[in-house]
Amino acid sequence: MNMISFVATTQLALKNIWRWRWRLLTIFILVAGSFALFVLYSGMLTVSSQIGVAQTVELNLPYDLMVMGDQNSPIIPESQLPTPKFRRPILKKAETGSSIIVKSETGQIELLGIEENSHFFKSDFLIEGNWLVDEDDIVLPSQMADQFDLSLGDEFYVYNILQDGVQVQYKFIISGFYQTDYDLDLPLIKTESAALIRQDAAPNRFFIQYNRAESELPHLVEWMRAAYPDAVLIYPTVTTDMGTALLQQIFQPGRWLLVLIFMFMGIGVLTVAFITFLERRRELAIMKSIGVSNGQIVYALGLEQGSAGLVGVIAGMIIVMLLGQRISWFSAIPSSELAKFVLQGSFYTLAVMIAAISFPTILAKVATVNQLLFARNIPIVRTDIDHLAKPTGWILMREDKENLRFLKFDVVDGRIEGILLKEVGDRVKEGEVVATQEMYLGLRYHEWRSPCDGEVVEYNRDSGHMAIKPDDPEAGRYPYPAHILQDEIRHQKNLEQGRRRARLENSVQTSK
Amino acid sequence: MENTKRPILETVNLNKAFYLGEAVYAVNNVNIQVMPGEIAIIVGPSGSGKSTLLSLLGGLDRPISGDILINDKSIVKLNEDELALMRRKNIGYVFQFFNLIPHLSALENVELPMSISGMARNEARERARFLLDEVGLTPRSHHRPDQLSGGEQQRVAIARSLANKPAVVLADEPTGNLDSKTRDMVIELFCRFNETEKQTFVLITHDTSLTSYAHRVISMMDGKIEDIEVRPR
Ligand SMILES: Nc1ncnc2c1ncn2[C@@H]1O[C@H](COP(=O)(O)OP(=O)(O)OP(=O)(O)O)[C@@H](O)[C@H]1O
Ligand SMILES: [Mg+2]
Repeated sequence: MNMISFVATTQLALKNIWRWRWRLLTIFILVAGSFALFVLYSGMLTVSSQIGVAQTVELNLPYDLMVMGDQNSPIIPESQLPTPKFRRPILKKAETGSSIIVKSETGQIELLGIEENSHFFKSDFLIEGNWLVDEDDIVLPSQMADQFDLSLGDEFYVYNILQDGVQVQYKFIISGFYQTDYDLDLPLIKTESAALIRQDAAPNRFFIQYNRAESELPHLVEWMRAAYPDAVLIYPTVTTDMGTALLQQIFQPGRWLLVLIFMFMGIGVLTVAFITFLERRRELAIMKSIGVSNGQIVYALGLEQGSAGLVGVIAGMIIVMLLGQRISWFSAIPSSELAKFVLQGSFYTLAVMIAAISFPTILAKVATVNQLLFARNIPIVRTDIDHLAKPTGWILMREDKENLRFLKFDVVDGRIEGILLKEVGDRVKEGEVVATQEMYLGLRYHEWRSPCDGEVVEYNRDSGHMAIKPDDPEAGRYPYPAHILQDEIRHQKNLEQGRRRARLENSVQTSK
Repeated sequence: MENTKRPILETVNLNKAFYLGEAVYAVNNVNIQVMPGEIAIIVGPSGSGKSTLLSLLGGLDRPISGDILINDKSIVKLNEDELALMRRKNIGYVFQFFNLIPHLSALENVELPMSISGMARNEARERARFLLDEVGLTPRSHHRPDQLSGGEQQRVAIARSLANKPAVVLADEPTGNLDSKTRDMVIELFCRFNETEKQTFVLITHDTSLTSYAHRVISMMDGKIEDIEVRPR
């Protein structure tokens, strides 16, 4: 393309843009809408996860710190821990003798009192937390501690009556408190949970609750980090990361929606581009007939549809900006994120547009003038075949014995789905087409060619096999895998032996 | 002298079949030659395969076997892009029906082959005006195809086929829709360009009076060549 023809092609494309303006408007709307939706929705996901994080931070954790060590790592005894800067607080000593009885589904748990008596928790979540340093250690709700006047280091017993009347008693030492609302009417501990606590406690997972000023938490964290370098430490401010991860999971389905947006846009653009192609086949035919090259056609088509896409993206940006002024949360999207979404959206739009436009463009490129002019099928894939695609032993055996060359067409009910050009008795030249066939709505085109000079000696309408006898007995043969023929020869030999044996036995019997 | 000249157009055992329940040969083993500077005419009854043959010659369709040589170069193995470039340089084509790009004016339609092949704008416009004048359509220059009669459209197409001064002009019933006066004008135009530009013309026609201008008359029947008559100039 030189400059003049380039300008001419561009002018032609511009005229076409005007001519197909309503059609291109559809593409424009599709792109602008999808693009705006993409950017706004991406922004919404970002903002909502931030809002979520903000809420997470405010969550009232029932503990100051949870240390989650590796299940298998050994626990460090408290005596070996670095010394904390602050002392353990001393809570009021409990009075002995008070007790409550709580029902559970499988039995009863009796609190025997403080020092000798007992207490615990309601939710599986906390049980699961395994707040035990030692087997007997337990962390209690601080509300309960107030009510029963419990303090750290106090001992109590869980006395459980199973349904068969057997009594089980567990001893716990209070090693911490946590802050939550606590409902005394509910079962405090399930029988099986209590058993779990005693038997399968994971000793390297525990809560720490010092009930001290918030400003001291960093020190606590530091302390535990030094003690358990590999452990995961969870405390109120660290939940930001966890919350983000959690919310991303929650919003993961939303990402699929983004994919869907572009999928629908692609389908829409493809449909419009394809319909336009169908309507313009004749015009394309004329262009090709006067010598418009494929490059010029691709450029012109690309410019037409691409300009609609480009203007669509720009309009999408404007929509985002206009709507952004009205949407309260829009300003919460960090501008770097927004720029990223705009770039992503443009990139996806480009990719989808190219994919959607390329199909009709490829058709326009590979079609002959007459295929376009007379709205005939346009095969994209053309193949020449001069041998059997799936040779069978039996046919190869015949090729071998009778010196034939076979082709096999696709036949349905004795009819070839295409044009059979040669009949039995016809002469054929090497490379001459003997049959053509269109498949898959005409997108695929097969030509069967004779592998040799010779004569068509046989055609089986039902199987689609055509046999050609080469003029030259030494004519080359297609290199089919050797084992197919050998297997067949072996198979025939076996058959023959079997027959001979049967014949022999027969003759022996009749001679008797 | 004449004998040493190579044909500008030649077909060798050319075949084209369509599938209409069974194979129908629209072009059946056709061997023809057209010498440079000739006016060749293809005649034959409707459905005898004239249009099919002509479109094969122009590379608008693909044969199922045989060869087509333009200036001794085979075109059957060329891809669509190479065919387009080949046509741009060598061939002007007039279809039997539907010739023009609908949203371009007559003038723009004639200009198009020149501008896409890189001719300067003014030059192209001037030549387009000249050609439209030759076919008597100056007053219709700025009309779009849907504002033109069938015969007028045909004449615009003829003007366009001459635009790039192709070595060969292939025209399918160029005078089919014309009255005797405009027909004579078109024929006179072909003869004149044949003389002055040494262009080769291959025309399909039902009009027997045209044969008197021809150097070669190719008669077709059922896809086969029935007769080729070469006339002295
Ligand atoms: N696309 C096609 N599919 C099937 N058959 C076709 C196709 N094109 C042409 N034919 C058949 O090929 C034969 C020749 O057609 P063609 O158009 O070449 O004839 P023609 O000589 O130009 O006729 P006319 O003088 O009427 O224009 C006809 O029998 C027609 O039915
Ligand atoms: Mg015709």
